[in-house]
Amino acid sequence: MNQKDIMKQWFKELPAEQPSPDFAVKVMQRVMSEWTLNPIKYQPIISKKGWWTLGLIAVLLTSILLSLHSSLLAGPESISQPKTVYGLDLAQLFEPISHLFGQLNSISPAVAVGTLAIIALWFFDQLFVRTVKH
Amino acid sequence: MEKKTDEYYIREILKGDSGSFSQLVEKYSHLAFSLSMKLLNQREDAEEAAQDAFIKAYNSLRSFQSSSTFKTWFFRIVYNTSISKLRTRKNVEVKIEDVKISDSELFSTESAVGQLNTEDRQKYLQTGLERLDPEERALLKMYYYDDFSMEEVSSITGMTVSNVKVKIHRSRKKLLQELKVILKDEVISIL
Repeated sequence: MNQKDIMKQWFKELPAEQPSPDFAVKVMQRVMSEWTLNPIKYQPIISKKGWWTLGLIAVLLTSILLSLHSSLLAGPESISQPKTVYGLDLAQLFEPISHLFGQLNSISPAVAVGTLAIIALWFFDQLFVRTVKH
Repeated sequence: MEKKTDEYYIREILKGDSGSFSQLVEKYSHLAFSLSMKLLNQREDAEEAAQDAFIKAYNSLRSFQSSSTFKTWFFRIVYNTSISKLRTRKNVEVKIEDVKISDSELFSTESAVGQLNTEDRQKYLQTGLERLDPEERALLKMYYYDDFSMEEVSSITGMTVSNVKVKIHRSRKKLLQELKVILKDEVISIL
């Protein structure tokens, strides 16, 4: 055994110095009184303002896309003449979206209801957690 | 109950769950008190310093960066709090005493102490430690009892690693010198 190990062994033999039994309670009492004076507030990653902005952007984007989509489908000339916006072929642009909606239509109602139920549960869980923390 | 990591509890506390701090208190109260005790050598003062250190840690938890472990970070707070308390108690002068013990004496003392039974060794070691300066006691305790590396002790105390090495080496020599005196007195008292 080297010198370091010998010393370590001697030190480990020393009786442990224990604080009084109510030490942890005293500390937590002080922590709690500190907390009531200056609580550490829960800070969400995205603020309320952020959520509102995101929501607004989503609504705007959806309405723009829907209006463009409906204008594309409106009138017989739309079939013969391709519609373009700033040189973009809208029919080509909406093709994948139409395809996606077509795919979504083929989803079984049970799966759709299940997914919606999961999303709703998650939403209410988040809402509940936030309400408790505030 | 499943034990979570310190980082997990810190995240919970920062989310607003102050109760999670009790897990850290439970885990580190013994080590914090023990370090304070080595520096202050007085039970009441050591408990107060350890409590203050916990409160300071709680209040500055946001500034904790995981570049160091929570244990090292917290021990730095305990060490500084205890040193401040020690300074307010009395004007502590850090004495740089020359340790007058030769290598052969060092070796013979070490082997003599090694031959004692555990109970006697505990008693003499305790007495020897009490004769050291608070800082020397704390350094030895962190290195030999808490298993901190030289680098970690340096981070806790704010000293350079080379300074820590020198001080630990000198403190060990001084402890053995004190043990030699204690053993000599003991032999004289028996005779």
